[in-house]
Amino acid sequence: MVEELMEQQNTDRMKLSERMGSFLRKCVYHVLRIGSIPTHIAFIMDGNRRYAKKHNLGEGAGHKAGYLALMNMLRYCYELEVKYVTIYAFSIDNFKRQPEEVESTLKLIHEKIEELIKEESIVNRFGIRIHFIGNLDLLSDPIRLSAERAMKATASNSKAVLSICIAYTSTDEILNAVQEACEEVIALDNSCNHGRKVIDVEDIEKHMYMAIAPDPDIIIRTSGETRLSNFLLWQSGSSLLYTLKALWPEIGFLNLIGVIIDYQRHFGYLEETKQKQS
Amino acid sequence: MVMHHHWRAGFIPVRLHLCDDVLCADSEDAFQTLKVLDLLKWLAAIGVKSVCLYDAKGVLKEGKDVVGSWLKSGNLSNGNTNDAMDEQKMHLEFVSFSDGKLAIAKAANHLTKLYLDAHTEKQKFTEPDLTDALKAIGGKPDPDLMLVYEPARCNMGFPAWRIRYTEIVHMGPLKSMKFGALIKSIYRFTSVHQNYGK
Repeated sequence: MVEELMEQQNTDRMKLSERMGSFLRKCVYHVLRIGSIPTHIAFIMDGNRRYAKKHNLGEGAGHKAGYLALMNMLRYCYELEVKYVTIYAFSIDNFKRQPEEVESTLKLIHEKIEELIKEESIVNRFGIRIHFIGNLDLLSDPIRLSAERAMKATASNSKAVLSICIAYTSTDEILNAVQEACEEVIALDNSCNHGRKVIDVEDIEKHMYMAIAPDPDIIIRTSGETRLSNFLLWQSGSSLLYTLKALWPEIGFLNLIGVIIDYQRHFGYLEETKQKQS
Repeated sequence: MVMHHHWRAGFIPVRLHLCDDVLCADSEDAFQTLKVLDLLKWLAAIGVKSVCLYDAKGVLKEGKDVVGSWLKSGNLSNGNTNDAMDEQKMHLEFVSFSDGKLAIAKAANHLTKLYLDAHTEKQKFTEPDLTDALKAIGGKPDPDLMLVYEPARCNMGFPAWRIRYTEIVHMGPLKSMKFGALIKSIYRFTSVHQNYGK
């Protein structure tokens, strides 16, 4: 009886703490909206393995902690009304890791894709449409089928977009777009006697996997690393590149706010850069 | 100095890219070019072997002559592979926005032409095919380190294919550049460990 009462009190305290947190966040968003809010933020979620090592956790625990951090980041972004969020979940280069690690990471991704499709998940709460971006043929059938089910289940959501880059590298994306643009020209060349069509930048861009979203305004990488590691290279020409020292599972609300403030400080310059490149 | 000795021994990045958007006004051009020359002198003193200068509009490309006159002092080569290259000289490359996405489109046309002219069966292109096509139209190797001399850390449309694993470091505006900051960035670069996704 006493234990039940204590448990109830703990639950009530947690609910109150959550409501207060939510209220405080809304106040911060209200202030931030005085400036420009980015339309598209991309994340390179680096540091899960280092986090596990730092805290003496078991295999895969770093990625599980990383997943919780991801859910929080998505919640904050969509509360702030950032329409597009893109995450670098699994690179083609990551297939070169130890087979056990690849298997456990992909197994976790598979589990989490299934959770996302559930009615009560963040995806349906915020009306998020999910896209899986990458060379999905490199994935095993169960994961690819789950991804296709998730895309189909959320196809009618229209408030926000979550692009999950899996089996992805930018060079593979560019190559695929070039391949498809070349195949169009070859098909046209075979079917008519008019002069050969010349491929231009627009012909390639329409075949990019990421044609479903505008270019990212901000690309955030955790763990203090300063490279893009073959992520959104084509789309990053006018993006603010931001490196956070925190490991991905350590990323929090204040980190995101700091990045947004920096973006707002440089907004005029970034817009000018975007205009020059269009 | 020990650090100086290490740079000469080749512990430094082979290719270094500077990202600078030179402004339109003439006086700004002249000021920025002087700053770029100072930067090149520092890099030559450090022992950097190869530098790629990028600005979106291609103003630095057009101002090659100014750098050319400095070349004659014997510190740099002009990137002409026909010239006999002294190992001590620094190789210089000028890149602009048109060497990025437009170059990929040109490479795509090059690949299509090769395929159609050869009348082969349908082919799946690979990344090495696209790399070779880019080289055929004048593409160069990837820089190891990109120093961004701009108000914000942004790659400004530098050729995407060439910055897959390039470390991108923000140095602040060119007018505020400092030798100490340059040394610090290069030193930090030497301690970076890349696992290339593994």
